[in-house]
Amino acid sequence: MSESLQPQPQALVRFGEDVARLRDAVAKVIVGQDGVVEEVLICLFAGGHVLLEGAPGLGKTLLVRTLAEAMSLRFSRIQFTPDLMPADIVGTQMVVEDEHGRKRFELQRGPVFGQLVLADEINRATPKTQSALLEAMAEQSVTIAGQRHGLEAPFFVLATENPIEMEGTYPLPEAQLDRFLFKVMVPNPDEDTLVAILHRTTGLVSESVPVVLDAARILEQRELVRSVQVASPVARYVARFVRMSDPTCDTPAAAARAWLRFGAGVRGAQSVLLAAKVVALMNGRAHVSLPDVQRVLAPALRHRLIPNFEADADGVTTDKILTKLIEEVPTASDAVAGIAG
Amino acid sequence: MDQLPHLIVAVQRTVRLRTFVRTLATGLIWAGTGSVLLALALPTVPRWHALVGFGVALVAALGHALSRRDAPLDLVTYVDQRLDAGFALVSSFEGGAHALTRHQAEAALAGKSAHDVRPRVLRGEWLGLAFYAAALTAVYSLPVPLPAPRPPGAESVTMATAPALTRVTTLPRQVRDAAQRGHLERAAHEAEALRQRLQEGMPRREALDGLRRVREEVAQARRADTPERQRAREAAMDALAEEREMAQAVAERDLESLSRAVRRAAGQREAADRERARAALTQAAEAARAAGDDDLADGLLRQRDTLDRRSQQAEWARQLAEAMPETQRGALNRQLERLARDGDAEELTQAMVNAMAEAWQRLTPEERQRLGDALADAQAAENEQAAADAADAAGPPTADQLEQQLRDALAALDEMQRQVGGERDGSQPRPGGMTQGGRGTGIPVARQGPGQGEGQGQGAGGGDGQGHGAGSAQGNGGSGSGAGRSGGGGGGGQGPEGGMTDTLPGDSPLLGRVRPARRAGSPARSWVEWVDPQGSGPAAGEVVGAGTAVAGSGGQGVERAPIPREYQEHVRDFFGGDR
Repeated sequence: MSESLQPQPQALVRFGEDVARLRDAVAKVIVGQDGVVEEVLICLFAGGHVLLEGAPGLGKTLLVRTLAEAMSLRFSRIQFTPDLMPADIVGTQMVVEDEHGRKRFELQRGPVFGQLVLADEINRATPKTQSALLEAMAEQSVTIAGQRHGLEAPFFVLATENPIEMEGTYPLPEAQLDRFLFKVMVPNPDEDTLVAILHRTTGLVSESVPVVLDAARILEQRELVRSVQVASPVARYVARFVRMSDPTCDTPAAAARAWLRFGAGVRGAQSVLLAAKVVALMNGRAHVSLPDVQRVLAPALRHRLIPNFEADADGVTTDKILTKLIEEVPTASDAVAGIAG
Repeated sequence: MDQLPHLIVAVQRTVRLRTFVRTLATGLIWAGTGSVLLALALPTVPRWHALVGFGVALVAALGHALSRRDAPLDLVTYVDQRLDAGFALVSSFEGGAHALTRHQAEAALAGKSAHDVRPRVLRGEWLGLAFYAAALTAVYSLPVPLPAPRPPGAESVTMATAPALTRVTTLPRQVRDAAQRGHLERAAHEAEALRQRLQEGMPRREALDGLRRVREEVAQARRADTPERQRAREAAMDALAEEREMAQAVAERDLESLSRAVRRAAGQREAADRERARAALTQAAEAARAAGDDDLADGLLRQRDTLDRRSQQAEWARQLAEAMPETQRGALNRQLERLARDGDAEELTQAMVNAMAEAWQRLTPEERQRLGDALADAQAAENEQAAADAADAAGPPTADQLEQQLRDALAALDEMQRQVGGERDGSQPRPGGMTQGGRGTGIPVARQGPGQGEGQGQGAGGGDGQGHGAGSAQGNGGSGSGAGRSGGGGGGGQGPEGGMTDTLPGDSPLLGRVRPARRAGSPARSWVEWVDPQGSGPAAGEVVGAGTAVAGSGGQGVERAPIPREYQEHVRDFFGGDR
């Protein structure tokens, strides 16, 4: 599968440089969490949204704020609470009085109108409020009082959530989960990382984050990402993987048949391939290879797989299911496997 | 990227080679397994099927390998993975790749040859060849069982005509007894079915089995011997204890054999008596001449000459009787006996015998032949007329006639059974049996010539004689006796007589033989069995003799007349009536 537009060689170099600078900027504040940072950057350049899941206090919010500072984007934060209303997110029409005493409706924009939106603890709000982000995340526009308002690009939503088993949380609807390109699991830091965090956050000196990217550069890099070439066997592998993750398909993988109620869909396949392109660029290639795809399979699909009762009862997580799927789904087609013998 | 097409071609060739090897190995495993199973299941089948399996596997492998066409993209993908190019080769092959990608692809191909990308050909395929070799060894090591012998009687037998079976089919119409009729109807049904199957051809074993069933039914239709008849036969056998040949004939109820035995015994005794009388006369003549009475001596010598002449006449008479039994046992003999009682019967008989003997002696062999032919023609015409008359007046056969018919049918079935069974070659002469072809080599035999007659001139003698043979019978021609019917005549009873005629030598001059039934005082029906000099079919029939039965008593054959009384009287009278 070839793309019509070929990326310029210098563009590839600039992409690598931008990624490196952004990592360095984030690293000034965030200690460790390299994988989380990489996945967030993948989503940033792929044009997708990120759902960060982790226990409170792991630096999720700090990571988002640091990215906002490094990219000079308009940052807004929404702290989701059970009593948060949709209008609190998207905004509302308010009656205002001008200097002549005349009253008129004026749009009071909500925090969603930022470029980098942090939806903190998104699963603490009710599903009704959570769905207020649906339109913004999917179409990058909101409709208020019947009037559609576009959001300024780049529009990048980073939501954090606590583990759903915690008290006072509402699981995100599948439709909204599907809007997120990645679901990034934020792990607890190891001992060395924790020590570094302690030294950095309890001292007198606080690092300032330099601005390394602007909105235009980000959009440019997103264009570059879409020009990355994907070979047919790679695309077929993605399609084969997604199909075999569906337990209702003709030839599902054993793991899918055993533990899944629903598999990934078309949007999942798109997310995987788009994210793999970013990874290819990050690795200095203008074409996607199989490791690129396998690198993003877990963050791109873990929130799109719906485990069945057996998986829940056995404590099998979607990450474990995905690991099994990666083992089961053949990387080469039958024809190529036949040639290899 | 220039060497990529070469690598693809190399990979494709290797893949075809591997396909050939794998298909061949798989085919050899199947062929070996199949050959072993086939050799175990059908050990008599030739073992070359194992080699055929190899050929089939070879052809299948070649066909499969040559027909294999892998997509170029798949081949490139394989090469890409083999060279760990990270899909740079595939992306470049598909076109529109970035310069960086092409550069990476060229870097991956740099210094690579076909050797670096060829897939492995052999893994465990050689095991297929080893398995096949082991199977081949096993197949040819299995012992080949000896071919099963062909079951006897499996060959096909075809007979266009089966007269014996046809005869059986007519038997039920002549029977009134329900039990006999049931047996004969079953026999007729079996015979008809068997006849039709024989026309189309059937296994010999089944044909013999069918014949056996038919024969059993016919045999069961025969009346069993009653205890009275059995006791009578045993008594007769006891009486003939010193005459073993006669006793045997009585035991077998074979009147022909009995007749031969009686004649033979009578001849031996006649010769002995004549010799003793001749010696006595010679001795007496010598004694008389020594005493000086030449007249008495000459008279005694004349008597001796007379005795010699009578002996010669007796010999001729015996020969004549052999040829024309009616002169001995027919009505003529009885008339001569009556004349003898009037005073000159002996001379008359002697003159007649002498005249016939002289006449017979004067005949040349050619004349005797012509006489035999004429008698045969006349007798055949009479036979036909008599058969027609008998058919016109045919009523239900008597029990004895039926018995005779059943015996004839059984004999015919036996003969047919021998033919079907292939016990003897039909071209070989059969003593006492049938000969076919080969003039002069066979033995002319007239078998189963039952002579039956009834007294009072109203018997409807039935039966037929069968004469087969191809012998060139020359010499004494048979002579029929009488022509037409002649009624009158006393003597009742009936005496069926059946049996076998003598087994005649091939050079026998006999052309025909007249066999009168012994009936006292009644025109007897006689059977004439002709030996066809040309060796063709039967010539037998029934004639109505005009002679006079000598036997004063009829009866049921052997049981009623262990030794024919008329013959005893004839012998006694011939030698002077003092014995």
